[in-house]
Amino acid sequence: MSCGNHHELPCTDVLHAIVLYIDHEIADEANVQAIELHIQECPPCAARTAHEALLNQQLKALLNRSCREEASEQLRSNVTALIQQNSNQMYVQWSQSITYTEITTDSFTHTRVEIHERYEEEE
Amino acid sequence: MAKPPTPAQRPAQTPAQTPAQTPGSASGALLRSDLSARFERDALPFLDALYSAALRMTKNPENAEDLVQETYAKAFASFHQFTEGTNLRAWLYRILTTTFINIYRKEQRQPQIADGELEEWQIAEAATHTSDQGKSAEVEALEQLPDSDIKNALQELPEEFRLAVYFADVEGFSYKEVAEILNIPPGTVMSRLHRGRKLLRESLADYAKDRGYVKRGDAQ
Repeated sequence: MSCGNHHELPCTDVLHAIVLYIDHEIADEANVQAIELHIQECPPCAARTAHEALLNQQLKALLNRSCREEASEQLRSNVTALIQQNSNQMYVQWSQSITYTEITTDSFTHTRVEIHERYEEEE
Repeated sequence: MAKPPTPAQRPAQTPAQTPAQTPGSASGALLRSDLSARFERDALPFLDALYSAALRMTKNPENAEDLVQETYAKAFASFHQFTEGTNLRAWLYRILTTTFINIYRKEQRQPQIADGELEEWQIAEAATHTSDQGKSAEVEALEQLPDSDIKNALQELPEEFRLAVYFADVEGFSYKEVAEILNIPPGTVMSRLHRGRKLLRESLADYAKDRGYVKRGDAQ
């Protein structure tokens, strides 16, 4: 469908791209400018764009208002505990592999020392 | 060459307290505490957000908690592979989604909608000036809806639409990020998102009508 006027970019192209335009998903800046120019010239497309933007904005606001949940304290402490628990297991594996490389390569040991010192500086 | 630590100093036995005796054992202890501290600092702040997403996926709090715990366990196990400075939030959601699919898809097979159908639908829908207009009366009505109606309406959306809408419109991810999280092409994100939003709006309009916020026939 067309609004009857001639545009550089046809109405149908603009209407196809409206949602992408509203979502800021058009990467090519030249295309964005072409759409904006069209919207300035074409009241029906401008109205449609404004309407779509309003509906989208409203939907986002409603969802954000109602869908934010808070994790229970139980879940929080469970997750914290499992990080601790898993990190201890991981530690055992690492200390074994590090003992192995210590014996075989001096240069690798030196590399490790550097990591160690950087870490302390960060602290 | 460094000597192996004596058994009394071996950090595996007392990981937290053992002072660094050799470079090897010191770096082992530091890497461990560094990684878990960094994980707690960076990943734990997303707990509420991941739980919210998990609840949208599993639809009940108990399963959502299990899913979040499983997600954190997996994320921590592969955290050493995560590149610092890249998108941790998207990475965590990707693990959440994959874990959800692995656990729950086996149990419940949902009818999948062919993406080709959606593309055609969208083209037919988009190319007029007039479609989807005249619904301004509903805009105000929807704002009166209680949170429970909005959650229910979202919950009733088929999963592929629900997750696309949730990640884009609640979490604010770009199409490309949603594509990575859901492991689908960006074009598919677009069609699912657009269709999902439309279905959700229609459903919310029905809730508003049922509550008497909009007279039937008003909207069209």
